[in-house]
Amino acid sequence: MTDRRTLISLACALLGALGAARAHAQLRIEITSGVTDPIPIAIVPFARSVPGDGGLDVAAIVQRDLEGSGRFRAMARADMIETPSRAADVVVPDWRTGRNDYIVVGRVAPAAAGAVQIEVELVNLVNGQRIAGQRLVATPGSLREAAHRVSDLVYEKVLGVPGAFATRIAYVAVGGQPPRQTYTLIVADADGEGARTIAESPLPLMSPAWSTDGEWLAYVSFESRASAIWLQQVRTGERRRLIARAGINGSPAFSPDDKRLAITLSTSSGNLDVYLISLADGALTRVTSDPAIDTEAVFSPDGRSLYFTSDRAGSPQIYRADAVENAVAKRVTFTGSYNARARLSPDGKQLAMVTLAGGAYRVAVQDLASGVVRQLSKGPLDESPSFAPNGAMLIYAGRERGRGVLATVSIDGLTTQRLKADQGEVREPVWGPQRPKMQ
Amino acid sequence: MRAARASGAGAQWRDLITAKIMSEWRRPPTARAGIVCTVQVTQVPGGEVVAARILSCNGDAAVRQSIEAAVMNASPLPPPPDPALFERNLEVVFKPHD
Repeated sequence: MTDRRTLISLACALLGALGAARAHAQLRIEITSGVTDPIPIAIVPFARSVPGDGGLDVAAIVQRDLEGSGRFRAMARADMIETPSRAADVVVPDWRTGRNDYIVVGRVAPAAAGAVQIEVELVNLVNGQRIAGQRLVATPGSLREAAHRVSDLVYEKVLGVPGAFATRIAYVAVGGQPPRQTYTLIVADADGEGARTIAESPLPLMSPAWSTDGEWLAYVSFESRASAIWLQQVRTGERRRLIARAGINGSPAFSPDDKRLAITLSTSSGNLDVYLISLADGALTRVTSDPAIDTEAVFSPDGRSLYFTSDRAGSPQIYRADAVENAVAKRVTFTGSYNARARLSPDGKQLAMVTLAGGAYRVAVQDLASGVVRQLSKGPLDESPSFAPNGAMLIYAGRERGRGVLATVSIDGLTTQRLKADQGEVREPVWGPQRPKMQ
Repeated sequence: MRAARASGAGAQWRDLITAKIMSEWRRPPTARAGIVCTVQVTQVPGGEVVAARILSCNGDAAVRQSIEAAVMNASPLPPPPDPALFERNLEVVFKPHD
């Protein structure tokens, strides 16, 4: 009897050992690449208990932001069977059935002194964990911004990099018919909503540029019948004329420390060159002196270099030079017969520009290390690319049915979104910097 | 002879599972070259993934979430060409090349 029991336990031990050995010799799989498909997410309409929110649909704003980035695909509202507004009320298996990886739920409620609070929670449906929660207090005037902050939160928690939805853009709108036209400089939310007029003139306004701190816009105005560069504080509207020399005063761009602008000035013979102008005292530094056209200079993010357009080799191409007097310029672009209006990505590694390809002017991005150029937009007359402050998207202007329109494109070129802009002909969009956090 | 056939079928199964998981891995921008994450995956016959446990990972929270989602969304995993080859436990290593 005893012997038999010993035998059995021995056999069991042996089998167990074999099982363990088998588990160790398991199949090993190596995953070296993935896909760029958007991440499936459910953004449930927020519960609302305030009249003070003006009927604002926070979830709809978040959905449009996230889908416009190309990184997310939102579940259709019609397919939602429940509408939880708290993470604790999310029945995970129900939402997994719809193959969602994440769910956003929230509620809008009154706060003190007529303010409105938005509470949002983000749940990872794969493991059921609540991975973020935030409470934002907004005034009726800042509710849209708060909704974009919700988009930023979700984007960052899911993708590991900051969003840039709670930012602003500036652009020029042209109304009326020649000879009676109105030029308007407009600042709007990054999705085109909440547009407001910053400056207006019957004579051309052009080339808006944001200061690095987001407080100022520089632009060119012909209001005194000749070009001049103006500086205007966005919040107060206070402005001053920076430079109005005889000839051309154009293409302002702020240095990263907001102490200087790169600008284009013409010499007495009409030749265009790149200069730097000090905001403190107006002192000028001449950077280029080539007989060709040198214009549209922008600073690299470290402030040491300038990238500008020059036709010194016969056709417009992008060149780089140190941001100093009489700098030596080196050609940067070599693909195609036309590359102009450079803008640097926030990390300084990518150069956005307008390129002529297949008979169309398109937005393209060149990797500065490898020189590889990718076309992001289709044309035919796209212009003025400008990076979002997180580098994940670009805004640009294109033409549709003979009208100027604004659009964004993801950095991989896969997702394009038209922006709402109902001020007639719109052009020269520029994406502003990240804004300080809401209180 | 039998061993060779078995290993050929095993390699084929491994490729099927690899392709399925790759097609479900929505890489976040932070999943770059240099990231190595090992996941212990437990499946039941039929290929349903019942557990995915990250054993080691030098990526951020976004990378970990994306990996866990890739494995769970790849469920059910493709069956082996020969049922005798079925393995309950898999070690899946996420190691992006670029």
